[in-house]
Amino acid sequence: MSNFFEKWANESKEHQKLVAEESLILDVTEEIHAQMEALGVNRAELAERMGKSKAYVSQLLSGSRNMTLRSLADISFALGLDIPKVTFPLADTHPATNGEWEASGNVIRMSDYCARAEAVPAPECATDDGWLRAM
Amino acid sequence: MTQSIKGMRLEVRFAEDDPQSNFKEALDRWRGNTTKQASLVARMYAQLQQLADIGQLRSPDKWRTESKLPNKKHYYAVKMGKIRAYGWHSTKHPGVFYISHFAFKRSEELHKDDHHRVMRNWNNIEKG
Repeated sequence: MSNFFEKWANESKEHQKLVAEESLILDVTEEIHAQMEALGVNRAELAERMGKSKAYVSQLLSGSRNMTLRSLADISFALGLDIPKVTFPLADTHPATNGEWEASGNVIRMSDYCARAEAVPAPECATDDGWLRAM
Repeated sequence: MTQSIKGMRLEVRFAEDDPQSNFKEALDRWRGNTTKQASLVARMYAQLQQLADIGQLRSPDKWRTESKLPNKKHYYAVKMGKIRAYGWHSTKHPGVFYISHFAFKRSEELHKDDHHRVMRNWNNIEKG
């Protein structure tokens, strides 16, 4: 294990889910900042274009307010950008010989994920050394 | 062994021997609130991984330019609410962003103890 964050994430499905959530929020908000930077638009101007308050936009972009797909579309429209396309990377997925789709080790199907989650309920804060739980 | 987060652009390396205990101290304000702590661990991990993958954090909520190092370059803070991860781009080890330490901040201003700690770690790594 190369660092304690990775070790923590690998302790449970719950931790992995939290990291996935935060990574997606960060990806989206950082991409919006990149576009705003390229277009020379600040938060106040974006808020004005959206007809919202600057505080609302700041909360969206800081991740402290949940961004809905609708608000993401509104931001894209206000910036004059194409609406982002959502794709889920399914690397190395190919049809198996029996006609069923199969997945390599690095592909997660939602159905598989849910099945595993139900079969093995992850403790909220399981640790193997208790470093977080002990806090 | 030095701990690090490797990404497509940078390697984020921890300057101190026990970054885990240091991060735990920074989260001490939320002691007993395991849900909040777990959320903060996940968020900081995501931010450091993003820094390693993209090479920068653009949001002013996530990144701040701090004071200068002895080599006249700035060091930075990865921001997460009141938690900071102070660090610098290494000249001795190109492609490495060193995290000096984590800190809980009671005010927006840089605390002199944090500045001195960054200087000490910078000297150990870059001049050692």
